[in-house]
Amino acid sequence: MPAPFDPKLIITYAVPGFVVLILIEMIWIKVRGGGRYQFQDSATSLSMGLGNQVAGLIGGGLVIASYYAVYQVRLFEIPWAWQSMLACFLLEDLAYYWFHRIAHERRWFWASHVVHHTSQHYNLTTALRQTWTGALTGGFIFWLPLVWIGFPPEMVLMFSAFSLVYQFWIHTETIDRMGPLEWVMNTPSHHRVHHATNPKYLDANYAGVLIIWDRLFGTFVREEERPAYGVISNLGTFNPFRVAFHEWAGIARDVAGAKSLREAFGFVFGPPGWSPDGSRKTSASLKAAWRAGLAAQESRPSVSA
Amino acid sequence: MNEIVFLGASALIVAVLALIAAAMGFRARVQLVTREDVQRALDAAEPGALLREVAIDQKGRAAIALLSDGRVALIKAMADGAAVRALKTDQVRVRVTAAKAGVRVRASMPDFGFPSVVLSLGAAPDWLSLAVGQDAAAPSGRAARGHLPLAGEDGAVLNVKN
Repeated sequence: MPAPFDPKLIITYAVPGFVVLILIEMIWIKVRGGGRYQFQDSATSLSMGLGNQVAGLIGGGLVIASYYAVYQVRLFEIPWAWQSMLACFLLEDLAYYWFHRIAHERRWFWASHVVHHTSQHYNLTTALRQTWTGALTGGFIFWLPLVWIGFPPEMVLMFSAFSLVYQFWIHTETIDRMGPLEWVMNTPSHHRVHHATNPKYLDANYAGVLIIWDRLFGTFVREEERPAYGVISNLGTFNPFRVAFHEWAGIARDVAGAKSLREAFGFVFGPPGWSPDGSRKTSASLKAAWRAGLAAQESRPSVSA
Repeated sequence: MNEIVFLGASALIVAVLALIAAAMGFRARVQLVTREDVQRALDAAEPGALLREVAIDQKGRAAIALLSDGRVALIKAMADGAAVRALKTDQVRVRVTAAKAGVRVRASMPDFGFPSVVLSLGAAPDWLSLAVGQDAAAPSGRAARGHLPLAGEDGAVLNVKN
Protein backbone atom coordinates (compact mmCIF):
# COMPACT_ATOMS: atom_id res chain seq x y z
CA MET A 1 0.00 0.00 0.00
CA PRO A 2 1.49 3.37 -0.98
CA ALA A 3 1.82 6.29 1.43
CA PRO A 4 -1.57 7.99 1.88
CA PHE A 5 0.01 11.39 1.20
CA ASP A 6 3.27 13.23 0.69
CA PRO A 7 4.88 13.76 4.15
CA LYS A 8 6.38 17.07 2.97
CA LEU A 9 2.88 18.49 2.63
CA ILE A 10 2.37 18.23 6.39
CA ILE A 11 4.87 21.04 6.94
CA THR A 12 3.61 23.01 3.93
CA TYR A 13 0.02 22.93 5.18
CA ALA A 14 1.13 23.75 8.72
CA VAL A 15 2.86 27.00 7.75
CA PRO A 16 -0.32 29.12 7.56
CA GLY A 17 -1.25 27.79 11.00
CA PHE A 18 2.21 28.77 12.29
CA VAL A 19 1.74 32.31 10.98
CA VAL A 20 -1.73 32.71 12.50
CA LEU A 21 -0.58 31.35 15.88
CA ILE A 22 2.45 33.68 15.91
CA LEU A 23 0.18 36.65 15.26
CA ILE A 24 -2.23 35.52 17.99
CA GLU A 25 0.67 35.09 20.43
CA MET A 26 2.05 38.55 19.62
CA ILE A 27 -1.36 40.16 20.19
CA TRP A 28 -1.90 38.12 23.37
CA ILE A 29 1.47 39.20 24.78
CA LYS A 30 0.87 42.82 23.81
CA VAL A 31 -2.53 42.84 25.49
CA ARG A 32 -2.10 40.42 28.38
CA GLY A 33 1.66 40.06 28.87
CA GLY A 34 3.04 36.69 29.95
CA GLY A 35 5.71 36.40 27.29
CA ARG A 36 8.35 38.33 25.43
CA TYR A 37 9.04 39.32 21.86
CA GLN A 38 11.65 41.47 20.20
CA PHE A 39 11.46 42.05 16.50
CA GLN A 40 15.17 41.58 15.75
CA ASP A 41 15.21 38.31 17.65
CA SER A 42 12.06 37.12 15.91
CA ALA A 43 13.36 38.19 12.50
CA THR A 44 16.47 36.10 13.13
CA SER A 45 14.41 33.11 14.24
CA LEU A 46 12.15 33.32 11.21
CA SER A 47 15.13 33.77 8.88
CA MET A 48 16.71 30.67 10.36
CA GLY A 49 13.50 28.80 9.62
CA LEU A 50 13.57 30.03 6.04
CA GLY A 51 17.23 29.04 5.68
CA ASN A 52 16.38 25.62 7.09
CA GLN A 53 13.91 25.14 4.24
CA VAL A 54 16.58 26.12 1.70
CA ALA A 55 19.07 23.74 3.34
CA GLY A 56 16.39 21.06 3.22
CA LEU A 57 16.23 21.33 -0.56
CA ILE A 58 19.95 20.56 -0.66
CA GLY A 59 20.39 18.11 2.21
CA GLY A 60 16.94 16.55 2.26
CA GLY A 61 17.77 14.38 -0.73
CA LEU A 62 20.64 12.79 1.18
CA VAL A 63 18.33 11.92 4.06
CA ILE A 64 15.62 10.43 1.86
CA ALA A 65 18.18 8.52 -0.25
CA SER A 66 19.65 7.06 2.95
CA TYR A 67 16.21 5.97 4.17
CA TYR A 68 15.43 4.21 0.88
CA ALA A 69 18.88 2.63 0.69
CA VAL A 70 18.51 1.10 4.14
CA TYR A 71 14.90 0.14 3.38
CA GLN A 72 16.20 -2.11 0.60
CA VAL A 73 17.71 -4.41 3.24
CA ARG A 74 14.77 -4.27 5.68
CA LEU A 75 14.16 -7.09 8.11
CA PHE A 76 10.37 -7.18 7.84
CA GLU A 77 7.61 -6.11 5.48
CA ILE A 78 5.53 -3.71 7.58
CA PRO A 79 2.24 -2.60 6.01
CA TRP A 80 0.38 0.70 6.40
CA ALA A 81 -2.02 -0.35 9.16
CA TRP A 82 -3.10 1.36 12.37
CA GLN A 83 -1.07 -1.05 14.51
CA SER A 84 2.12 -0.42 12.53
CA MET A 85 1.45 3.32 12.51
CA LEU A 86 1.07 3.33 16.28
CA ALA A 87 4.33 1.42 16.63
CA CYS A 88 6.05 3.76 14.16
CA PHE A 89 4.80 6.83 16.04
CA LEU A 90 6.24 5.51 19.32
CA LEU A 91 9.55 4.43 17.80
CA GLU A 92 9.94 7.68 15.84
CA ASP A 93 9.43 9.60 19.07
CA LEU A 94 11.98 7.38 20.82
CA ALA A 95 14.45 7.92 17.97
CA TYR A 96 13.87 11.67 18.30
CA TYR A 97 14.54 11.50 22.03
CA TRP A 98 17.95 9.87 21.50
CA PHE A 99 18.86 12.10 18.58
CA HIS A 100 17.97 15.15 20.63
CA ARG A 101 19.84 13.92 23.69
CA ILE A 102 23.01 13.19 21.71
CA ALA A 103 22.59 16.54 19.94
CA HIS A 104 23.05 18.16 23.36
CA GLU A 105 25.77 15.85 24.61
CA ARG A 106 28.16 15.73 21.63
CA ARG A 107 29.56 18.88 20.08
CA TRP A 108 29.45 17.53 16.50
CA PHE A 109 25.66 17.38 16.67
CA TRP A 110 25.38 20.35 19.06
CA ALA A 111 27.11 22.59 16.48
CA SER A 112 24.02 22.14 14.36
CA HIS A 113 21.35 21.98 17.06
CA VAL A 114 22.67 24.91 19.14
CA VAL A 115 21.05 27.25 16.62
CA HIS A 116 17.62 26.35 17.99
CA HIS A 117 18.70 27.41 21.50
CA THR A 118 20.35 30.73 20.69
CA SER A 119 17.35 32.96 21.29
CA GLN A 120 17.11 34.53 24.73
CA HIS A 121 13.37 34.61 24.19
CA TYR A 122 10.90 31.77 24.23
CA ASN A 123 8.01 32.31 21.89
CA LEU A 124 6.51 30.69 18.82
CA THR A 125 9.12 32.23 16.51
CA THR A 126 11.80 30.45 18.55
CA ALA A 127 10.32 27.16 17.34
CA LEU A 128 11.26 28.12 13.79
CA ARG A 129 14.88 28.99 14.68
CA GLN A 130 16.22 25.86 13.03
CA THR A 131 19.60 24.64 11.85
CA TRP A 132 20.99 24.93 8.35
CA THR A 133 23.50 22.11 8.79
CA GLY A 134 21.37 19.26 10.11
CA ALA A 135 21.80 16.90 7.16
CA LEU A 136 25.56 17.48 7.12
CA THR A 137 25.97 16.22 10.69
CA GLY A 138 24.24 12.94 9.83
CA GLY A 139 21.65 13.26 12.58
CA PHE A 140 19.24 11.27 10.44
CA ILE A 141 21.12 8.07 11.32
CA PHE A 142 19.01 7.90 14.49
CA TRP A 143 15.95 7.12 12.35
CA LEU A 144 17.63 4.56 10.07
CA PRO A 145 16.92 1.62 12.43
CA LEU A 146 13.21 2.20 11.86
CA VAL A 147 13.43 1.76 8.10
CA TRP A 148 15.85 -1.13 8.60
CA ILE A 149 13.22 -2.85 10.74
CA GLY A 150 10.82 -2.37 7.86
CA PHE A 151 8.72 0.74 8.51
CA PRO A 152 8.16 2.43 5.13
CA PRO A 153 10.32 5.58 4.79
CA GLU A 154 7.19 7.64 4.05
CA MET A 155 5.66 6.50 7.33
CA VAL A 156 8.80 7.49 9.28
CA LEU A 157 8.98 10.82 7.47
CA MET A 158 5.29 11.41 8.15
CA PHE A 159 5.69 10.98 11.90
CA SER A 160 8.87 13.07 11.87
CA ALA A 161 6.86 15.84 10.23
CA PHE A 162 4.03 15.42 12.74
CA SER A 163 6.57 15.65 15.56
CA LEU A 164 8.00 18.84 14.12
CA VAL A 165 4.54 20.38 13.80
CA TYR A 166 3.59 19.24 17.31
CA GLN A 167 6.72 20.84 18.76
CA PHE A 168 5.85 24.23 17.31
CA TRP A 169 3.08 25.18 19.73
CA ILE A 170 5.00 24.20 22.88
CA HIS A 171 7.44 27.10 22.36
CA THR A 172 5.43 29.61 24.33
CA GLU A 173 5.35 31.27 27.74
CA THR A 174 1.66 32.08 27.39
CA ILE A 175 0.50 28.57 28.38
CA ASP A 176 1.12 27.46 31.95
CA ARG A 177 0.69 23.87 33.19
CA MET A 178 -1.76 21.58 31.40
CA GLY A 179 -3.01 19.25 34.12
CA PRO A 180 -2.86 15.50 33.46
CA LEU A 181 -1.41 16.10 29.97
CA GLU A 182 1.84 16.95 31.75
CA TRP A 183 2.22 13.30 32.75
CA VAL A 184 2.43 11.96 29.22
CA MET A 185 2.83 14.74 26.70
CA ASN A 186 5.63 17.20 26.05
CA THR A 187 4.08 20.53 27.01
CA PRO A 188 5.12 24.20 27.00
CA SER A 189 6.12 23.86 30.66
CA HIS A 190 8.35 20.82 30.02
CA HIS A 191 9.93 22.40 26.97
CA ARG A 192 10.60 25.71 28.72
CA VAL A 193 12.81 23.71 31.06
CA HIS A 194 14.60 22.24 28.06
CA HIS A 195 15.39 25.71 26.68
CA ALA A 196 16.59 27.10 30.00
CA THR A 197 20.16 27.71 31.09
CA ASN A 198 19.45 27.52 34.82
CA PRO A 199 21.92 24.87 36.08
CA LYS A 200 19.15 22.65 37.46
CA TYR A 201 17.46 22.63 34.05
CA LEU A 202 20.51 21.81 31.90
CA ASP A 203 20.33 18.69 29.73
CA ALA A 204 16.73 17.87 30.57
CA ASN A 205 13.42 17.17 28.81
CA TYR A 206 14.60 16.02 25.41
CA ALA A 207 11.16 14.74 24.43
CA GLY A 208 9.55 15.36 21.08
CA VAL A 209 5.89 14.51 21.56
CA LEU A 210 5.81 12.20 24.60
CA ILE A 211 7.55 13.18 27.83
CA ILE A 212 7.53 9.53 28.92
CA TRP A 213 11.01 8.97 27.45
CA ASP A 214 12.53 11.56 29.79
CA ARG A 215 10.73 10.01 32.72
CA LEU A 216 11.96 6.58 31.62
CA PHE A 217 15.60 7.52 31.02
CA GLY A 218 16.01 9.87 33.99
CA THR A 219 16.26 13.20 32.21
CA PHE A 220 12.91 14.65 33.28
CA VAL A 221 12.97 17.88 35.29
CA ARG A 222 9.82 19.69 36.43
CA GLU A 223 9.48 23.45 35.88
CA GLU A 224 9.88 25.17 39.25
CA GLU A 225 11.95 28.34 39.09
CA ARG A 226 11.61 30.83 36.22
CA PRO A 227 13.69 29.70 33.24
CA ALA A 228 16.43 31.91 31.77
CA TYR A 229 16.57 31.15 28.07
CA GLY A 230 19.48 30.96 25.67
CA VAL A 231 22.82 29.21 25.79
CA ILE A 232 25.61 29.34 28.36
CA SER A 233 27.57 31.84 26.24
CA ASN A 234 24.81 33.82 24.58
CA LEU A 235 25.43 35.11 21.09
CA GLY A 236 26.22 38.77 20.58
CA THR A 237 24.60 38.93 17.16
CA PHE A 238 21.30 38.64 15.29
CA ASN A 239 23.06 37.89 11.99
CA PRO A 240 21.57 34.59 10.73
CA PHE A 241 24.83 33.47 9.12
CA ARG A 242 26.74 33.95 12.35
CA VAL A 243 23.97 32.14 14.24
CA ALA A 244 24.09 29.24 11.78
CA PHE A 245 27.84 28.74 11.73
CA HIS A 246 29.26 30.13 14.99
CA GLU A 247 29.75 26.76 16.67
CA TRP A 248 31.29 25.25 13.53
CA ALA A 249 33.71 28.20 13.47
CA GLY A 250 34.46 27.50 17.13
CA ILE A 251 35.18 23.85 16.37
CA ALA A 252 37.46 24.82 13.47
CA ARG A 253 39.38 27.25 15.69
CA ASP A 254 39.74 24.70 18.47
CA VAL A 255 40.84 21.91 16.14
CA ALA A 256 43.36 24.24 14.49
CA GLY A 257 44.84 24.92 17.93
CA ALA A 258 44.75 21.31 19.13
CA LYS A 259 48.09 19.88 20.24
CA SER A 260 47.26 16.26 19.47
CA LEU A 261 44.80 14.08 17.61
CA ARG A 262 43.17 13.20 20.92
CA GLU A 263 42.57 16.87 21.65
CA ALA A 264 41.15 17.45 18.18
CA PHE A 265 38.83 14.46 18.64
CA GLY A 266 37.72 15.82 22.00
CA PHE A 267 36.95 19.23 20.54
CA VAL A 268 34.78 17.68 17.82
CA PHE A 269 33.09 14.78 19.57
CA GLY A 270 33.39 15.65 23.25
CA PRO A 271 30.61 17.33 25.19
CA PRO A 272 29.99 20.98 24.28
CA GLY A 273 32.46 23.07 26.29
CA TRP A 274 34.99 20.26 26.55
CA SER A 275 38.62 21.37 26.78
CA PRO A 276 41.82 19.41 27.42
CA ASP A 277 42.49 21.18 30.73
CA GLY A 278 38.85 21.31 31.81
CA SER A 279 38.99 25.08 32.00
CA ARG A 280 35.79 25.64 30.00
CA LYS A 281 32.25 25.20 31.19
CA THR A 282 30.30 22.07 30.33
CA SER A 283 26.78 21.18 31.41
CA ALA A 284 28.26 18.62 33.78
CA SER A 285 30.64 21.10 35.40
CA LEU A 286 27.92 23.74 35.73
CA LYS A 287 25.56 21.26 37.32
CA ALA A 288 28.29 20.00 39.63
CA ALA A 289 29.08 23.56 40.74
CA TRP A 290 25.39 24.20 41.33
CA ARG A 291 25.00 21.00 43.37
CA ALA A 292 28.14 21.85 45.38
CA GLY A 293 26.67 25.28 46.11
CA LEU A 294 23.43 23.70 47.28
CA ALA A 295 25.28 21.19 49.46
CA ALA A 296 27.37 23.98 51.00
CA GLN A 297 24.22 25.92 51.80
CA GLU A 298 22.61 22.91 53.43
CA SER A 299 25.67 22.01 55.51
CA ARG A 300 26.12 25.58 56.79
CA PRO A 301 25.16 25.63 60.49
CA SER A 302 22.01 27.61 61.09
CA VAL A 303 22.31 30.62 63.35
CA SER A 304 19.77 30.67 66.13
CA ALA A 305 18.59 33.93 67.56
CA MET B 1 9.48 25.51 -9.27
CA ASN B 2 6.93 24.89 -6.49
CA GLU B 3 9.76 25.02 -3.97
CA ILE B 4 10.92 28.39 -5.28
CA VAL B 5 7.40 29.79 -4.97
CA PHE B 6 7.09 28.32 -1.46
CA LEU B 7 10.41 29.83 -0.39
CA GLY B 8 9.55 33.20 -1.92
CA ALA B 9 6.23 33.27 -0.09
CA SER B 10 7.98 32.22 3.12
CA ALA B 11 10.50 35.05 2.77
CA LEU B 12 7.65 37.49 2.33
CA ILE B 13 5.92 36.13 5.43
CA VAL B 14 9.16 36.46 7.44
CA ALA B 15 9.48 40.10 6.43
CA VAL B 16 5.81 40.85 7.19
CA LEU B 17 5.92 39.17 10.62
CA ALA B 18 9.11 41.03 11.55
CA LEU B 19 7.53 44.32 10.48
CA ILE B 20 4.38 43.57 12.48
CA ALA B 21 6.52 42.78 15.55
CA ALA B 22 8.37 46.07 15.11
CA ALA B 23 5.13 47.98 14.56
CA MET B 24 3.69 46.45 17.73
CA GLY B 25 6.58 47.90 19.67
CA PHE B 26 8.45 44.70 20.48
CA ARG B 27 11.82 46.34 20.91
CA ALA B 28 14.74 45.69 23.22
CA ARG B 29 14.01 46.57 26.82
CA VAL B 30 17.42 45.97 28.35
CA GLN B 31 19.87 48.84 28.30
CA LEU B 32 23.25 49.18 29.87
CA VAL B 33 23.14 52.59 31.49
CA THR B 34 24.70 52.30 34.90
CA ARG B 35 27.56 50.34 36.41
CA GLU B 36 24.90 48.29 38.22
CA ASP B 37 23.29 47.33 34.89
CA VAL B 38 26.63 46.04 33.65
CA GLN B 39 27.32 44.20 36.90
CA ARG B 40 23.86 42.59 36.67
CA ALA B 41 24.58 41.38 33.13
CA LEU B 42 27.95 40.11 34.31
CA ASP B 43 26.41 38.28 37.29
CA ALA B 44 24.13 36.31 34.97
CA ALA B 45 26.94 35.20 32.67
CA GLU B 46 30.02 35.15 34.88
CA PRO B 47 28.91 34.62 38.48
CA GLY B 48 31.41 36.03 40.94
CA ALA B 49 33.08 38.37 38.46
CA LEU B 50 33.44 41.93 39.74
CA LEU B 51 33.85 45.13 37.77
CA ARG B 52 37.02 47.11 38.26
CA GLU B 53 36.61 49.63 35.46
CA VAL B 54 33.80 50.03 32.97
CA ALA B 55 33.04 52.09 29.88
CA ILE B 56 29.39 52.16 28.76
CA ASP B 57 28.11 53.07 25.32
CA GLN B 58 26.15 56.34 25.24
CA LYS B 59 23.17 54.55 23.69
CA GLY B 60 23.25 51.81 26.32
CA ARG B 61 23.81 49.01 23.82
CA ALA B 62 27.23 47.79 24.95
CA ALA B 63 29.98 48.08 27.50
CA ILE B 64 33.58 47.09 27.96
CA ALA B 65 34.97 46.39 31.40
CA LEU B 66 38.09 45.38 33.24
CA LEU B 67 37.33 42.78 35.89
CA SER B 68 38.89 42.44 39.29
CA ASP B 69 40.46 39.12 38.27
CA GLY B 70 42.36 40.83 35.46
CA ARG B 71 40.14 39.71 32.59
CA VAL B 72 38.30 42.02 30.26
CA ALA B 73 34.57 41.66 29.62
CA LEU B 74 32.71 42.67 26.49
CA ILE B 75 29.00 43.11 27.13
CA LYS B 76 26.20 43.61 24.60
CA ALA B 77 22.54 44.22 25.31
CA MET B 78 20.73 41.54 23.32
CA ALA B 79 16.97 41.01 23.13
CA ASP B 80 15.83 41.24 26.77
CA GLY B 81 19.13 40.09 28.18
CA ALA B 82 22.81 40.50 27.53
CA ALA B 83 25.62 38.60 25.89
CA VAL B 84 28.93 38.60 27.71
CA ARG B 85 32.43 37.37 26.95
CA ALA B 86 35.15 37.53 29.59
CA LEU B 87 38.65 36.94 28.28
CA LYS B 88 42.30 37.42 29.01
CA THR B 89 43.26 40.95 28.08
CA ASP B 90 45.63 39.90 25.31
CA GLN B 91 42.76 38.19 23.47
CA VAL B 92 40.90 41.46 22.92
CA ARG B 93 41.80 44.03 20.29
CA VAL B 94 40.68 47.59 20.82
CA ARG B 95 40.51 50.36 18.24
CA VAL B 96 39.65 53.92 19.17
CA THR B 97 38.73 56.55 16.59
CA ALA B 98 37.58 60.13 16.87
CA ALA B 99 33.86 60.62 16.37
CA LYS B 100 31.60 63.67 16.05
CA ALA B 101 31.02 63.90 19.75
CA GLY B 102 33.77 62.05 21.51
CA VAL B 103 35.31 58.74 20.49
CA ARG B 104 34.24 55.47 18.96
CA VAL B 105 35.68 52.34 20.54
CA ARG B 106 35.64 49.02 18.72
CA ALA B 107 36.66 45.95 20.72
CA SER B 108 36.92 42.61 18.99
CA MET B 109 37.83 39.05 19.86
CA PRO B 110 38.06 35.74 18.01
CA ASP B 111 34.47 34.52 18.36
CA PHE B 112 32.28 34.21 15.25
CA GLY B 113 29.16 34.38 17.40
CA PHE B 114 30.21 37.62 19.08
CA PRO B 115 31.22 40.26 16.55
CA SER B 116 32.94 43.47 17.56
CA VAL B 117 31.54 45.57 20.37
CA VAL B 118 31.23 49.21 19.32
CA LEU B 119 30.84 51.96 21.89
CA SER B 120 30.27 55.67 21.48
CA LEU B 121 31.87 57.50 24.37
CA GLY B 122 32.19 61.17 25.27
CA ALA B 123 35.86 60.54 25.90
CA ALA B 124 37.95 57.44 26.29
CA PRO B 125 38.41 56.68 29.98
CA ASP B 126 41.94 56.74 31.31
CA TRP B 127 42.27 52.99 31.69
CA LEU B 128 41.24 52.51 28.06
CA SER B 129 43.48 55.34 26.92
CA LEU B 130 46.39 53.61 28.59
CA ALA B 131 45.60 50.54 26.54
CA VAL B 132 45.69 52.20 23.18
CA GLY B 133 47.86 55.27 23.61
CA GLN B 134 47.25 58.96 24.03
CA ASP B 135 45.34 59.33 20.75
CA ALA B 136 42.28 57.91 22.43
CA ALA B 137 42.17 60.60 25.07
CA ALA B 138 42.63 63.41 22.57
CA PRO B 139 40.93 62.23 19.40
CA SER B 140 42.50 63.66 16.30
CA GLY B 141 40.76 61.53 13.71
CA ARG B 142 43.67 59.10 13.64
CA ALA B 143 42.84 55.66 14.93
CA ALA B 144 44.69 54.20 17.84
CA ARG B 145 44.68 50.50 18.31
CA GLY B 146 46.18 47.86 20.52
CA HIS B 147 45.59 45.03 22.88
CA LEU B 148 44.23 45.85 26.29
CA PRO B 149 46.91 46.00 28.96
CA LEU B 150 47.58 42.98 31.10
CA ALA B 151 45.79 44.34 34.10
CA GLY B 152 48.11 44.50 37.05
CA GLU B 153 47.32 46.43 40.21
CA ASP B 154 49.13 49.44 38.79
CA GLY B 155 47.28 49.22 35.48
CA ALA B 156 50.59 49.02 33.63
CA VAL B 157 50.47 48.95 29.86
CA LEU B 158 52.30 45.83 28.77
CA ASN B 159 50.96 45.03 25.39
CA VAL B 160 50.41 48.13 23.35
CA LYS B 161 50.69 47.98 19.57
CA ASN B 162 50.02 51.30 17.88
